Amino acid sequence: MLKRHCIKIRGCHCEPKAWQSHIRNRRHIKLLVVALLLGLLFIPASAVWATSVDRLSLCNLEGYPGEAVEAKITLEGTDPQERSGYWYTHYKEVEGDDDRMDITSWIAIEPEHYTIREGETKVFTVKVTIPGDAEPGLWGATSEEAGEAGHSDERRTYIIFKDAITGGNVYSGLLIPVSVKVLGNPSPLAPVVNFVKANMIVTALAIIIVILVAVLVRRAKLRKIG
Amino acid sequence: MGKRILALAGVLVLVAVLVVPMAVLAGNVATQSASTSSAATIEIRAQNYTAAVATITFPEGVPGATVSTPYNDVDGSGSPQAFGGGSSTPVVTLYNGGSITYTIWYNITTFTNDVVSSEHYLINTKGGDCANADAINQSVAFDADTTTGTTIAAGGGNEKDLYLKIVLNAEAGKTGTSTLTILGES
Repeated sequence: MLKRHCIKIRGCHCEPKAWQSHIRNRRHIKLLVVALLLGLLFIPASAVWATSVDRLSLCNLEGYPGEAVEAKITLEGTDPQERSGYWYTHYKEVEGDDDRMDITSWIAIEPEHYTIREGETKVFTVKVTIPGDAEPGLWGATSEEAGEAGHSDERRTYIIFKDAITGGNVYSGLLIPVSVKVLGNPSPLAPVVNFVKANMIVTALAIIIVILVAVLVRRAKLRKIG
Repeated sequence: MGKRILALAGVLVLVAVLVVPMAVLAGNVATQSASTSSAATIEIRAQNYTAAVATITFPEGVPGATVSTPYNDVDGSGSPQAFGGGSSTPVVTLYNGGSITYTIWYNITTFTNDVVSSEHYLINTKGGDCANADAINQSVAFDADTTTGTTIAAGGGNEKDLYLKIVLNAEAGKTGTSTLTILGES
């Protein structure tokens, strides 16, 4: 139909304006088709109506006894309706566990309660306070692989967030495993070693200067004696 | 010779003075390891597997009775949970909008006013049959995050059907509320 109409107009030399207008219309149609095809790429296969989180595990956090380790975790709202929820800790008790597995008392999440809307992101601080008398080693999980997908059997301590459409009684959420590698007491020379490692050039120059100054001082002394 | 050494030392001091401001005092920096992929929770949806559900309601029953016709706020009381070959209808459906497979956990709180004595659940594959209320046979442990052992893969076509039933207590004229939580573990 369009082709036929096009031939008709092409044959008409007395109406150049109409021909130009027709060409413009065809361009617009082409652009529209391209835009529609591109638009299809951005239509999600299924709408997402749940809260998303940027971390599925907080495993192998490292710290010394008496230290507090902090980690940030972000939730993103994708539900068109406002959702209300909260964070809490959970210990999955397994027969034969020792006292290293339940570290729920070490964990605090700020803020604990939240409301979240579509497109909104909220950042939470997970603060793990390691007791001063904690022995070095892994706490909260039976292995360092506990943070990997499918390693549920190796997890013991979790943080959990859950929320529901505000006013609803049906919640959904995720379990996020937490484990801590408690390090042995740091050497008193550790800050010095760290400084040297981080400032190799400065340290090397300082050593050379000290040697040169020592040589000068010695020569001066020798001259005095001579 | 002494002047040369002095000059060299002077140059080195100058270089050190220029470099020192760039020096960083390193403390004991703890290395943290954590996965960073974004993940969505399992959604609790209506019987059509699309609309999000806010509430589930069990209709009134006589004391001691088993109530197996709950309904959600989207489908309404006109479309409660139903049984039978080819026409089984769950009270709600579960959809994994994330990108990885989750193990499904639940937490159902004790009903207030001691209205309910026990609750059972069944998680079926999408469109799977639930012949009758007896098929809902997984006993609920109230007030505890409990794994179902069932996994749900990500994306459409992998949805699950959730069936619920409760047994009412013997005391009449009471109403109680509870919350249902569905959790995912990677």
